[in-house]
Amino acid sequence: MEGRDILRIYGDLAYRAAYGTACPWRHHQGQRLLPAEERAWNKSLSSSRIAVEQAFGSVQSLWTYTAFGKALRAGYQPVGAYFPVAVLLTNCYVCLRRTSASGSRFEVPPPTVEAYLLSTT
Amino acid sequence: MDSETEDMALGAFGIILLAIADSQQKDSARKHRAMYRAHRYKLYRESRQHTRRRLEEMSASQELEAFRFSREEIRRLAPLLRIHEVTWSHGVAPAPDLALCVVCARLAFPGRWSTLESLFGRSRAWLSTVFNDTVLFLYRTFLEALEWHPQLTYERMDVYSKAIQNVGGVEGIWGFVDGTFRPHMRPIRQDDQRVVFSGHKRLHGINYQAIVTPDGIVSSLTGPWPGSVSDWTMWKRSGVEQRLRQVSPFLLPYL
Repeated sequence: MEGRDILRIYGDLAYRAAYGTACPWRHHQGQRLLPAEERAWNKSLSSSRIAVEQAFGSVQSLWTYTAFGKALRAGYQPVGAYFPVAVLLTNCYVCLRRTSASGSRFEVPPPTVEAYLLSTT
Repeated sequence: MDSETEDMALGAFGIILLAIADSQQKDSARKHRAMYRAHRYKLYRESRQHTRRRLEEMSASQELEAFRFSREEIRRLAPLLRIHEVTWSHGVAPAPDLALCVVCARLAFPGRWSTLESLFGRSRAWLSTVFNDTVLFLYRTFLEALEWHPQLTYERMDVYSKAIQNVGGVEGIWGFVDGTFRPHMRPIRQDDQRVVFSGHKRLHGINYQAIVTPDGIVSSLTGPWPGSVSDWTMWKRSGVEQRLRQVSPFLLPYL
């Protein structure tokens, strides 16, 4: 039985290292006291990590209604459903246009819309 | 019959006659009001006829601005999103393409209903019903796929981790996770307020957790959680860890 390497997701400072997660190196007295290689490790991943922020940014700029908090009334509208549907439509947008804010950095092409949506049945 | 009961019978008969006449009057008044309303609604619909044609006459750039997708993309997306399976309420019956246009137009920009009314040529009641029905249907249908997309097999995650290694030099990372806080209006009841208030952002809202993979897709979206939960609480409660364990059962666990 071959052992596969564990694959993790990388979060920001709010996350801890646990099963499946990785987070930046921390120093209890401040980040400037980190050793050099830990700081380099943090830095190399932090510029990739902004892919998440860019994804949220593109959802917000495409579907601005979800970002306009003054228009959303919690008891009167299905507010919790608007953002997931906006994310779904943004994923369709990325699959259709084959481009995203972070996609050019990593060069992994997204699936086609049919592959993305039809595999969900 | 003696005179007393005669009088009573006559009186009862008179009351019945009056009641019939009264209800006939009420009936005819009701009919008049209904006819008036139908006439006014017909005038309203005719005044909007010209705006319905505007939808077909939109140019490509106007379509992109209004719907974010072009006409062909909407035609391609509507059957994939299974909008023909929506059960509509209140007797609306839009075509699937039109329903998707309504959803895209409403989500694309925070505007007043009057803008969409003049765009689609329909009342705001119709638009609001179509919008909320479609949004709720899409949410329920695609919720599981949004939480963990079926394309996330070990092989695909391996492809991602190699791409990130090429860029960042660190191996073994297949995606990036973060929480997002989406504010909304403050609720009326204090108990609700306490639950959805985020002390960190000082606003009332809803939290989601998203994992973004290098192809630019949000491969996992869990939520909505109340605004008061933290990112780490969302990770623990989201069930993504169990999915990871299912995907790679042969792992030698190390931290």
